[in-house]
Amino acid sequence: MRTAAPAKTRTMNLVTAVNEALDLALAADKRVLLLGEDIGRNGGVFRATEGLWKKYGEERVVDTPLAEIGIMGAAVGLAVNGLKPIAEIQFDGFMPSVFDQVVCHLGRIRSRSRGKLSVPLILRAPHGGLIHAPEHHSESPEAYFCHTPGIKVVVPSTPYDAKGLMLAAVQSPDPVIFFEPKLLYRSATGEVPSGHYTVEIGKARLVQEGNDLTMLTWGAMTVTCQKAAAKLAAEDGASVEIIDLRTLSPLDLETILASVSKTGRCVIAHEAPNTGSWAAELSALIAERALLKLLAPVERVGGWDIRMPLFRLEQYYIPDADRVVLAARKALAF
Amino acid sequence: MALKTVATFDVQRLEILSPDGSYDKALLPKVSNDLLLKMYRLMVQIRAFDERAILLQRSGRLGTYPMITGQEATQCIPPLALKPTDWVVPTYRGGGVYFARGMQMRYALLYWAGDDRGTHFPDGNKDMIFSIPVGTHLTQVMGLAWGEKFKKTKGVALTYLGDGTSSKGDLHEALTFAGQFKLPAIYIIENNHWAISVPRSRQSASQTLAQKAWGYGVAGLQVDGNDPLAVYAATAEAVARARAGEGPTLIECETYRLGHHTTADDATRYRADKEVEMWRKRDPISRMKKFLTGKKLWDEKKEKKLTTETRSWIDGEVKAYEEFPNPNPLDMFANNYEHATPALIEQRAQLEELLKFKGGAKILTELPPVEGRFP
Amino acid sequence: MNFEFKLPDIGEGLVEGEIVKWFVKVGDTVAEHQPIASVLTDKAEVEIPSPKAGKVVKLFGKPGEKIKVHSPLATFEIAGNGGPAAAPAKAEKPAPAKAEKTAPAKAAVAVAAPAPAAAPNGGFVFNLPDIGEGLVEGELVKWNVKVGDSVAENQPIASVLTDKAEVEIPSPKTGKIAVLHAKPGQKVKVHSPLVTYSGVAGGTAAAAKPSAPAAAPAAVAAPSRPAQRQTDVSATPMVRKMAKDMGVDITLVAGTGPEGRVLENDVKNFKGSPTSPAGTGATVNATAAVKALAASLGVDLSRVTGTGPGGRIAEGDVRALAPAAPKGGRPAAAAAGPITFTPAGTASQGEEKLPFVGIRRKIAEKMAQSKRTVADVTHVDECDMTALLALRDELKPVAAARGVKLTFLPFIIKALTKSLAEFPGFNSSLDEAAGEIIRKRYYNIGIAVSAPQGLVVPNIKGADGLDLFGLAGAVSALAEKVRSNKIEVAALQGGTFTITNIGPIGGLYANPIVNHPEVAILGLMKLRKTPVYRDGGIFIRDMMNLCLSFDHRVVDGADAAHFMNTLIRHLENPRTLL
Repeated sequence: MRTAAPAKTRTMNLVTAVNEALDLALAADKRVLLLGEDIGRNGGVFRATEGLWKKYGEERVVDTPLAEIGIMGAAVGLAVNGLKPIAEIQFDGFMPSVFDQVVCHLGRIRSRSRGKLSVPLILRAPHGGLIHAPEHHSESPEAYFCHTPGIKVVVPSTPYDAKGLMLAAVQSPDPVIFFEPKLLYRSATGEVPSGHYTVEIGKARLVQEGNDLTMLTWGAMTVTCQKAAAKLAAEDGASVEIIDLRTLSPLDLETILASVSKTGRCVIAHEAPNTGSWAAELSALIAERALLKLLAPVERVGGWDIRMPLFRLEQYYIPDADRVVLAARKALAF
Repeated sequence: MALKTVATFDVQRLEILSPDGSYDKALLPKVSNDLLLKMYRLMVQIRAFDERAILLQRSGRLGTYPMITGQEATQCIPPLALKPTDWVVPTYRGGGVYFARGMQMRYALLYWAGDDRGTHFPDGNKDMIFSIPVGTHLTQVMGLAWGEKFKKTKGVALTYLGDGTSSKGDLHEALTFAGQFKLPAIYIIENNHWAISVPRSRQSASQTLAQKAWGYGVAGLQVDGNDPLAVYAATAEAVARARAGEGPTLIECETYRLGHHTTADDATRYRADKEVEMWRKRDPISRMKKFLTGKKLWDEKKEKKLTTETRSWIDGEVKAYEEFPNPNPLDMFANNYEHATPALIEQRAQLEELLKFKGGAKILTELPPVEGRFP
Repeated sequence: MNFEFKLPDIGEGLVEGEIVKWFVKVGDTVAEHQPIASVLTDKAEVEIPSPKAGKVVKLFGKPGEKIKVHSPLATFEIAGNGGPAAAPAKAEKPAPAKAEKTAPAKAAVAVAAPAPAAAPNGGFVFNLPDIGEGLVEGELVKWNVKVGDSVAENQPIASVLTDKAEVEIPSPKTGKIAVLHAKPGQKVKVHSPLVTYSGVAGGTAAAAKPSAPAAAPAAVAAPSRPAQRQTDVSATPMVRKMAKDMGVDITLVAGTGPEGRVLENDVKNFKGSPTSPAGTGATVNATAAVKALAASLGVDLSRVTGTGPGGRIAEGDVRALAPAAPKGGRPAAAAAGPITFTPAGTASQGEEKLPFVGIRRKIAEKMAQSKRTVADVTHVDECDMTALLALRDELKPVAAARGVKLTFLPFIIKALTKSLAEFPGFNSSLDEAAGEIIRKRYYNIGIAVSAPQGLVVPNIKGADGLDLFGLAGAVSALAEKVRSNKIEVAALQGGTFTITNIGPIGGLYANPIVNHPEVAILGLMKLRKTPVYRDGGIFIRDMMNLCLSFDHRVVDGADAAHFMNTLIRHLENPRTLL
């Protein structure tokens, strides 16, 4: 799971951790270049690429025209041509433009070229809601990507994981979609080692151990689950185990199934609409492979099957600790 | 107050060799006789190959096939102005392009027979398979060109798109980037006048497609796409421009699709025979023959020899295609990731079980060996 | 050789084409690629080129006719082995071998082999085999061994009761008994563990743990460490719920399913709870106590509607259906509470308690069930056996010569099969669920035999096909097998009519209980010399009463009377039986 943490660490937030990772990547490998809207001179609308344009120049940190298809297609071409592009789509809500490239090409080029060509790129985008943003700025589109073969999808929830996963993604020979939870950009802080390290893509993180119920989650909902678990411990005396998936595709089924087999009860908490969500896939996998250990049906706590409302009502859309607690109680009482 | 003209442009069209064999001496590109003969040979052979492919399809020996009949010059000539290490990405109607790049045509047959192993390009070539969702390759080619520039190789990327595809947003974004960043890219609009049943006149109100170039601040040119010499000259100039770091070129090659859209189409439903006959008279191959004959580089004896060689070559490729062993279904699982994920390893094993269920335990030894590494 | 060219799918999912015209005729020689026909499809008129060079032998269809894609268009005579096939298959290779004699392996995933699995503590587990043609479960009657015993291969280790017979189970291996997985009286499912061995010669390794349960055969297989958490146990949600509803702590139940899974039966059989009533096979929603009560009162739980939570059968539901106790009579043989079992007989206070197990209990269940189901009536008549006995004596030497002992039973059986042929209603059974009366055209006549191990009813298959001497031989053979307890399960199944010959012991009249699902049973009472009036005078004749009990749901009293008259007529004119 973790590589041994070097002696020197600093406290920082998640967006700074991303920035550090990009800085290290640009420094270490001349093939790395960043492209996206407003990422250069402006340092990115969330300041994720702050300072990098000045440090590495406009050839390596590129302000592109306002053209998502162009950004994505360019990244594909650059990657096929042997470079390591890290492309940014400014908001999750703008990702649909790139589906054509992602679905038709990103995961296919290696197999269509029978192994001769590959697409080692990173597509970064902010993820999730609760920052009172305009419409289309609070989406959780991971299901569409996880459903696409040939690509990998990651979403860190801590600064440590953000930097480590980004550096792992840079080394990945396969395309990686890298979601950065906006809510956690500044609110998530933690110790981050200076220098280079990686967090393995494909491995989940045990947030806290418990015996009575497993919560599977990712992104900003990890924090929500921790709040819910604290409430369950205090009010119900329940011991909750929390697993932050970190990599949504490919799944760390071993960790997930071991936990659910231990506790027998599972709540999956996420922000996307529940129907056809990645939580639905997890629920199916658990039913297939851990049925004999289940003491209750798997609960999915996610968004309603409606569009994300304007932000005044977003806390009624995105599950909060109360909704997670209710689901957990249902599972515990079954 | 009178309006000020702030920008003007002239759209030019290049013609060198006329259908009757006469030519503009001043514009003749400086190429060797060998190259001229190669041009002719490529065009003749690909036409004959397409004719055979159609017969194969009609007798159930091939799947749907998109023929390039009539477009031989636009397809076969531009690759001759490039190095193998320059990138080339045609459209799905790109048999002549791949052929000119040296691909063994048995692989084209394999691809259109629905066999993944048909994606097979000569070693050392920077060829990429075309995109079926038309136009989605255009931004990728821009990225390839960007990569060449980034790496400072002086390599270029050349791609094709049809008149229909020129309507897609991908072209807009690709040329926006290519122009803005002065990328070494060459975009050939292969205007064959038909996007299945929709004529060129319905694709755009723009008088020419070449003039779109000015919208992006890139060089543009219209070319008689059935004139092999003009096509060569235009491409060579665009390549030189790209290599010199002066940016991309949009070339509109005006040609005509003499055949159906594919073997699954019947063009007589939507276009007049008269139009087709008119374009037949502007055929690239016959004018090239006249040119070479006039230059004493060609004669009937050589023609007969070429015909015989061509038939024998096609027979050889068809035989090789039909003798290809069956693919192993397990091949599907190779090359999805650098290293297969646990889920894929599991699923491949499930396919193995299915194969055994269908054909007995021995089946796995009877199928041809799996190509591609796994996991 | 001839090559058949089928119309290809020339246009992406075409179904058929219409022949516009032929360019060739039969007898023409065609070259490869030469157009042979023009075919009209949904999209266009298309010329079809010949896929091969050859001579046209046959053309299918006339202009204007429609031809389906992939059906024959033309047949050519081609030279030698021909080239590649016209069909999309390109390679010469034959299709993947379907010629495998053995069935292809089914989708590997889950087929659990009935092979014994490793026991939790590593010994060799012997699962109860299918000892009787699709047996589902057997009841352990007794153990011949105890834990710790060393046994040799083939040594009898247990007696197991099937539907019809008690069967000895031989040890499949030489080894030491480590665990006995059932108690006497307990049901064991076929293919589930019966005995665990340790130190099996040539078997799997690992001796039993010293903590294996000792002495009492009541031991069920203990897992190597006690389960503490619910999730230490593997069970389907349904089984967990069942355990919860029954108030059973599933962590204490040993699982006999794959990889130690706790099954429905494991929960039901947990802690020696009384078994459910015979023969229902369905999952009954009732507590162990209620099930025991039902068994003692002879109530078939599958017919009880429960009024408890979730349709659970309560005590009151059972009592409401119990047969009424005889008024003021002696107390019902079954007391009004659950029957308790003890594994071995114990004596106390002038009472002897015997385990109510084995064939005794089987008989009890069968009889009670028959009584509950059949609308029984007994028709009695007398038969003059004088002529028959005389004929028997006459045939004795013939019988001796054939090596058989001729009693009057073969005559009875013969007369019976003839009579049953005329009155098939008495050789039938009623399938209420299917709403059918099944009249059998085969005659498997059962004979009730009182054996040392209990009452058994083996039958003679196809009795109508045997002559008197054949029947005599069959009867003797059956008797011998029963006596030596070697009767096969098959002989106990499939009977269509039963004879019970009580007369040699005694009795004038009886109401034999119909051997359900048969429709009738014939009791043969005592043979005695009796003065009777006939032919104008009083004579001493050998008379025997015949008591026919029958199921009035299927046949009526008049039928019975006619049937009996016919039977008696045959018996009183025995030469008709030769």
